[in-house]
Amino acid sequence: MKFRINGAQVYASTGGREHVDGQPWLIFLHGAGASHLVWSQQSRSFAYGGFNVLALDFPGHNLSEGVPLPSVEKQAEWLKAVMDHIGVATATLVGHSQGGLVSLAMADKYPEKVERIVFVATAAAIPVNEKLIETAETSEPVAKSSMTAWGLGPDAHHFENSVPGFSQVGNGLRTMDLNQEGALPADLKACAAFENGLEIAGRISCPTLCVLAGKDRMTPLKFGKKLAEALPDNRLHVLEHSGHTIPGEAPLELNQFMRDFFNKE
Amino acid sequence: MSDFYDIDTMALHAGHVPDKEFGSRAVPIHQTTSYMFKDSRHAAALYNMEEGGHLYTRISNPTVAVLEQRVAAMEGGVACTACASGMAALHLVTTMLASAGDHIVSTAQLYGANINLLKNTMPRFGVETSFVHGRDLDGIRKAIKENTKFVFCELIGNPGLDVLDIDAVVKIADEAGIPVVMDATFCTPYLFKPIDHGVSVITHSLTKWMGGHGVAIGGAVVDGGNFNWGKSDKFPTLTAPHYALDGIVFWEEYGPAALTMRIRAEGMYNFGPSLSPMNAFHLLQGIETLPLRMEKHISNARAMVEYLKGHEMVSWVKHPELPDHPDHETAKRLLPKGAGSMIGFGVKGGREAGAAFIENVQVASHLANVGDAKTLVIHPASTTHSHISAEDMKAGGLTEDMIRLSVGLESIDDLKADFNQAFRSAARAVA
Ligand SMILES: Cc1ncc(COP(=O)(O)O)c(C=O)c1O
Repeated sequence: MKFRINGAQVYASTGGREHVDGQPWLIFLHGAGASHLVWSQQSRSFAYGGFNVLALDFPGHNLSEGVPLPSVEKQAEWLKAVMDHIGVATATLVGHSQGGLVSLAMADKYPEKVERIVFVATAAAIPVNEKLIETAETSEPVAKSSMTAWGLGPDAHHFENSVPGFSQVGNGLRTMDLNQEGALPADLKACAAFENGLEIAGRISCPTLCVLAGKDRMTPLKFGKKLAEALPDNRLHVLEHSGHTIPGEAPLELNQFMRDFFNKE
Repeated sequence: MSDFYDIDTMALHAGHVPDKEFGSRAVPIHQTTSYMFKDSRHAAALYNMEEGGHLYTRISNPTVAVLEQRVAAMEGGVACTACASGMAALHLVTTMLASAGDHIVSTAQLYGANINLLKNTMPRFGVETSFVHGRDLDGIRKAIKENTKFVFCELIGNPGLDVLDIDAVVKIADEAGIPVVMDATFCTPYLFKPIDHGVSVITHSLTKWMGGHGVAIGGAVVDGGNFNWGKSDKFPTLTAPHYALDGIVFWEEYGPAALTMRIRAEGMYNFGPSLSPMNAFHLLQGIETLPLRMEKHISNARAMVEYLKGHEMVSWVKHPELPDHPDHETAKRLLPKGAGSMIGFGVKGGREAGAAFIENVQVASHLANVGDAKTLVIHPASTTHSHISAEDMKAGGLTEDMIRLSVGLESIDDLKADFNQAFRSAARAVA
């Protein structure tokens, strides 16, 4: 669906289904340099499974217009505006990487809007290395290639895939290409500047699920585990063999963990 | 070191990780038509394209998927769909991107059946093609109309071995807001990576060098994922709601891989040009040695060019690496690893001498294929291109005395000896 926030067009995939009154809301938040396309194996699955789905493109990413937002806090404010615009009182947030930081910021500032959080391959802080930020600013294609390489685990590097004929490598690279120039460095800087995640995590009162990856080279497992330990009401799953791009690399497992988590109450 | 595996490694590994249960190192052959659903929810999920998996082998199959992922990897695409033949690949692309009332611009230097599909078959379904000589860049630009959906080409034209200045063609198509589709059968990703040059869709006859052993017919469509289908309303099959799947918009849902998903959901579903798992396995076995084979194809081809140039029974030799080839400079720039293993040459004594030569080779095989590990010869005017009009033959750079040679991997000494004795027979036939 397309709508406007602050005068700029916003795109959100509904997972191919119209929203239905009374169904629970599930909002997917992509990571740095990515877009809603990273959730293609989740959005339809949950939309056909009884949820009202919004898989968002943040401003300046893929089909959403506007300028990339410079901080995690601003991204959370934008998310609040999106929820208000659509009339979502409360939702489960699913955040991959940077999207996990946005979920933390959102739960901190607007706890009433957040029913549950699913953290996917993320941590309480993502201290992006300065060299990568510099490369993203001076030669974005090189940074995209490195990030795609680091962002994928061994099976994806062997071009194994749950979707027949797909290449995670190719899709990773081309998905980043669909974003506005400058979106990647803006995201990386926003991640690097977000520093009080661990403190926020300790205050989060809603139920949370962390799905982390053993072969994650972008947000290493030990940092994800620190987040999991800080969250008061958390469930943790580790996919030992997956890389950072869990939604594409281990979609069936992730979806099952999410379903089990949603069904526990 | 690059960020990803090199093509030599991909040729062996891409697309497959040994299964957890048995650890089979080779790619297993899933010789099955269908797959057990775990429950009715799982069945619905596969039908709705909610998640990946296999439903029915007409649409996808685990062995075929390994081949698809391997070819996608080697070409640097976002996805690949394997199909029954190279012709099925072009048919899929054409029907997914063009509808009645639409138009295609194509270079004229193409494989005969590619010409026939676009020139004689598609017009019956309302899709017209304008053919332009590949060196006539201005002609290509001028032939593009409002309703043109893509530019089609081959890098190394069959059978004239013209080499297209693809960078210039991509620029022209780019300016017109349409993608370039290339049949890359003759170069394979070992010699040339079309997507790196801005080509958006690749078709392959895997029957040829990719498979290499002449045991299986197969084709593939590689989706480059580098074309923005949403930039205009020219491609409603990808940007407007689909007739099924609750009106899915492939471009919104799958972005760079929109074309592949449309091919899967409509092309494979409704036309059914699926590749058999057994053929996929044979093609995979071939691809594993592609880099090694191509090296030998190229070194043997170079040696045969030298040999033919010096032979008294040969009136002319055509190969893009020869300085007198009109596209020599383009070939040098685009094909530094080698300009393919096809050679054209004329036998002194015309048609009759050519026939005698072909009938007397003993190591080379007289047959209709190209790109086999074995050396092949044919007389196109009386065979592959016999359905093509004299006019089109001329446009394709084809002459009556031409022998088309696909150089294989045999000992170069045995090949030369074989040709020597066949040339002697040719000389006797016209003496
Ligand atoms: C360049 C080219 N494209 C396409 C084809 C068609 O391939 P297939 O025979 O696999 O349908 C051929 C086969 O001769 C070919 O040489």
